[in-house]
Amino acid sequence: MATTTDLSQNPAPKRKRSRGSWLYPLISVAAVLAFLIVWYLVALAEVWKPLFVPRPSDVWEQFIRASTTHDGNVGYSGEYLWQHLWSSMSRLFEGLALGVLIGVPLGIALGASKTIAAILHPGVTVIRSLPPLAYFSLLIIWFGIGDSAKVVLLFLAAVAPIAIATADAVGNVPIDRLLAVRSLGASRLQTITQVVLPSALPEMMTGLRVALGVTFTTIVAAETVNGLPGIGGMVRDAQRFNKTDVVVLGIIVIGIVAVLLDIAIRALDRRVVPWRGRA
Amino acid sequence: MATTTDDNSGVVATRPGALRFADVHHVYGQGASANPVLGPIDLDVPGGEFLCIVGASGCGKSTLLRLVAGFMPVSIGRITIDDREISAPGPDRGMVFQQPTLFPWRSVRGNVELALKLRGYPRGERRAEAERLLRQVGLGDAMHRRTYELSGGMQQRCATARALAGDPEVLLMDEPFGALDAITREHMQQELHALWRETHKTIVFVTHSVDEALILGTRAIVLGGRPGHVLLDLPLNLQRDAEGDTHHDAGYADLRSQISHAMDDDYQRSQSEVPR
Repeated sequence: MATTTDLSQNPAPKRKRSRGSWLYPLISVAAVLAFLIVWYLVALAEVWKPLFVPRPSDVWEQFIRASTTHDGNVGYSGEYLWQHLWSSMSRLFEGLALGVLIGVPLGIALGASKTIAAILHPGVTVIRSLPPLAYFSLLIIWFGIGDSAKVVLLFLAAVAPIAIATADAVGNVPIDRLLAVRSLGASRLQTITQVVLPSALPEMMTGLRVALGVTFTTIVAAETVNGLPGIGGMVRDAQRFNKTDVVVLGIIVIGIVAVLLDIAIRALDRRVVPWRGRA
Repeated sequence: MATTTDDNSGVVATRPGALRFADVHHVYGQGASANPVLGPIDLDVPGGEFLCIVGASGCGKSTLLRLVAGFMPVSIGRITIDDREISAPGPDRGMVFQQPTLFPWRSVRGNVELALKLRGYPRGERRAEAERLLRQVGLGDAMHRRTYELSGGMQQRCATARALAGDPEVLLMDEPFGALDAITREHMQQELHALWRETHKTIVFVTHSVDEALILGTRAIVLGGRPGHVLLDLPLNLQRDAEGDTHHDAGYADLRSQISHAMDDDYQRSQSEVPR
């Protein structure tokens, strides 16, 4: 979090900054290229069997097959790659949206009332401490192996970090900021909407980012149970038929999407709380 | 410029914003842990006075200001503003804190507009009034800036404009220039004095700097002792030079030494006391 603020508070000389702006992405690209080359050479030399290390070209072929109709077969297991990905993402965003919808008011209640905090804090802390997959089996018993169990799982994974971050932030609004708005004659409701919530936004965004990370790792793992269509389900299915190239394809897609999601939420963070660390 | 030299005579008894402290005490905590921090305080502050409250850290000067602001009830006694008893914050008082407490999610103008909204100012007139207030404190060119982009001095100007929203009779300032560098502080003092001369609002200004009190105030009180009470109450009728400075007045050194002595004696006493 602190990385961006240090730069912006104390801007480096223009020249050094512009050099850094292309140099380090270039190094990252070079590192990825180097990895691909090593992979290709290892696969070409057949250091290990293709069952263990498929060639990049095989993975690319599976990418094409999974994205098109070939010999009358649609994508992978009847769905295109993007449809698998979309299924996973829609579950993820459903769970995350529910997490925000419930987690933010819950966090405000936890932060505003000591009684409510005393009642709910143990439960929220336990849910946050448990690995989500630990209670997944129970959710399957309750909700079946369909989508509901997965969405509930993701909701539970998301709600705890969001609620706890919100509660901490609501309880830590600078006292003079509250007095300032009181001295202007704000009502209790106005104090919450005009000062407490905006003051808590940076921490709430951090909670959202944590929740996104947790739900993303959880959805891929949760889809090992009846996860088709779904990117995690696709990986699981391919593993059962020893289609290592599809497994690797799935892993690469998951990795790329994870990076893109992180970039997206950081961009969102800069838009929503440009004052982070500066006020 | 004969009129500017006798600007201290602008204190007229009929101006609004008269504060009266009658046997005011304040105690933090209850029962065995009760800690009396203030009292008794008996003071009459005519409307339009620029009152500086001086004292060491912990003398209760900030507590006194917060009681006037209405953030907490007085334990004993009463504080009135134009004969209305103070029990809560109200639109007749505006407050500026040592740390600027601006809202970074709003622009400079947005901060003042919010203040006007909370003070019940009609929606359609908020923008124009916010811009007038910001021009008054010298932020006419910074209205659309984000507050966290401003320097410390500009942030305090914005906080002052916000406190002036809704035209309160009394401006309460809790060491507002304490965190600023010396040059900025000097400019801010001159601007605040000019603002006071224009508006003749009652200003209660808390500071630990004797010189700041002598530059700004029409009256200085020294708070000290335990619980805190008024050790010294001095009218300041210093002449201002063209720069608005009071240093050259013959009475400056004498007033300064009187206030310093009162503070020194208080310090010596506090050191010989057994800590509670």
